[in-house]
Amino acid sequence: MNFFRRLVCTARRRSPWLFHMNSGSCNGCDIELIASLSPRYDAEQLGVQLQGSPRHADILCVSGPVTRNAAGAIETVYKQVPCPKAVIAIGSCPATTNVFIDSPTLDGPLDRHIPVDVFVPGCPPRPDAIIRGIAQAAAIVAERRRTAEGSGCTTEVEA
Amino acid sequence: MNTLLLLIKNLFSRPVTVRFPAAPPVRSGYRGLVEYDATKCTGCGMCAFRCTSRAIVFRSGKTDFKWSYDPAQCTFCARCIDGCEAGALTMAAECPPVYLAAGALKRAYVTPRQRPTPPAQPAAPAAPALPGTAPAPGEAK
Amino acid sequence: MTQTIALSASTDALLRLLVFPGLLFAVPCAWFLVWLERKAVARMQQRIGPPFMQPFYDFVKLMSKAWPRREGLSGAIMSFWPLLAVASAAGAVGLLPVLPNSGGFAGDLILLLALLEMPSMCLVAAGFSSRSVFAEIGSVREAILSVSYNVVFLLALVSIAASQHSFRIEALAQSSASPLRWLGVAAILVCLSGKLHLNPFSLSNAEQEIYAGPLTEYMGPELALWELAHGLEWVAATGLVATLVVPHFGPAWLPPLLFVAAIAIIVLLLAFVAAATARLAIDTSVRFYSRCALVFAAIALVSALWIGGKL
Repeated sequence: MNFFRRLVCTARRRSPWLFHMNSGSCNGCDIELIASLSPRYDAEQLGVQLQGSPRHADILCVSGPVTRNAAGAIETVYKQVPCPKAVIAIGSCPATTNVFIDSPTLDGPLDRHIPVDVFVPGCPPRPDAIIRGIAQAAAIVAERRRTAEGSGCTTEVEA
Repeated sequence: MNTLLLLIKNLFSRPVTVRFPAAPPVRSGYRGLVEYDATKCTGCGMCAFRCTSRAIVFRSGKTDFKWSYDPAQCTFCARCIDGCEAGALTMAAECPPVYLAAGALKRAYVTPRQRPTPPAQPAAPAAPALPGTAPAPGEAK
Repeated sequence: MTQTIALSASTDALLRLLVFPGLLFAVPCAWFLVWLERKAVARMQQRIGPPFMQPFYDFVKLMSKAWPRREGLSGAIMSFWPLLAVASAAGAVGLLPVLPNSGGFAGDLILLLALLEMPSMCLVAAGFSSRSVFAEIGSVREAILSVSYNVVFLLALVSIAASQHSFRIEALAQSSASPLRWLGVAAILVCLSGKLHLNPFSLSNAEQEIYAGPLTEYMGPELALWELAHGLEWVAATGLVATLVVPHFGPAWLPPLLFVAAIAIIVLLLAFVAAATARLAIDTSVRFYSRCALVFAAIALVSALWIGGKL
């Protein structure tokens, strides 16, 4: 049984599938995330694939300070990512709301809504920093169990 | 046709990818972390005033002052560095690292206030004018 | 006596379905072909691309997630489509004559075409049973694309088979080449881009446009089965073309080797086209395939009449 456990851990670490969500970002961090899939940095060497649906991904990458309009959407999408999952906050905005710290249209940094596992600071962060963050998050997902408590993980399908 | 030839050429040549975990070098002049030199800081608080995102927080006390900087809050605009008269702030060509816990990168420095050193004694004062000689014009009596 | 013959025939069929060239052999082949295509596209784009075990790791990771509990009959139907897709793709691979003189029966080409068609139909049905707007749009696109490339695909195969007067794959593999066969193979290769959802006909899994297309609501092991069905489709489709291309002569070890080499060349060719082109919109793809079908139908009709001696 230990062999299967180690196999599953290795598979989760070497196959991190991402879903990217923009919660009000200026798009600088989104561009750098797409640049990390370009030939110079090539996140696919780690097995990273950018998926089209949150239900296909393991890692949710969020950029942008969470605006009031996006707060509900972030929580819904987070629930749709199947367990085990991890969240990466890309850029300084989801970590600390950066220059928008006094804005009345924001609803706080990202960890007010969903648990964040890895923070990749920078304005915008370099693509190699983003890839390092993805590798860290993949290692975190590899050690998580399928029905981890505290992250809302059940086997029910959320609508 | 150009595309097809290019693809065939690419297939047989080396990829340009930088293999993980190596990274392309950061060039000099890159907008990176703000470096603080406590020995040069005069405690004017100009950097905290000019900061666009409240990454620099300056608390002034009677006996010391506290200067703190959060790289995760910083937007690397360098307004603080431009406004520092004492030259205590410089920009390093270095990226902030990936971290796992909120607020892990914040750094604070507490600098005790020092009495200012008095200026050095000037050279021996000029010899007093002999009585009878005319005083310099405009000199008050 | 007939009972033992029937028993041995059914065990033989079961072995072909499950072991060689069925599931046990075809699944690692599927992973290898998927990796080969991704690596070739990456190298053509000057990237490194995924490591060799990547499709295996993707499969294990997806299987290790929890099977989603869906409610009611509609949920059961939704979970049924990936199973049907894998089963029919594995059956299609099981029918291929990888080794010479491996049996088969009259009309197994028709069964192969039917089984090869099932994964696309399952994809369309899965999108409609997902109750999601994005999935429905993806299914509609996949259905339209399927109709348009199937005209060319079936026309090419039927004309090849009719010129040999046999619908048995084994007979087609062993017969000699002719200009009509090469024309048919070219037409089939053009359709393979559509069947395998590669550029320029990768319409049904257009990310960022319709999220993930028909598979938007599938997760975990269901998604693993869909990816596996896709990989088995690769093996079956390229295997079919390789069967038509590779001659059965020489010592016993030569045809399987040539078979594998032919499959690798076809995969590289498809990867080449995928890396060189962008995605076409639905109207352009349908127009392309209809023109293809028209041209090919005219040529096939003329040559069939000529070979048949009627002309």
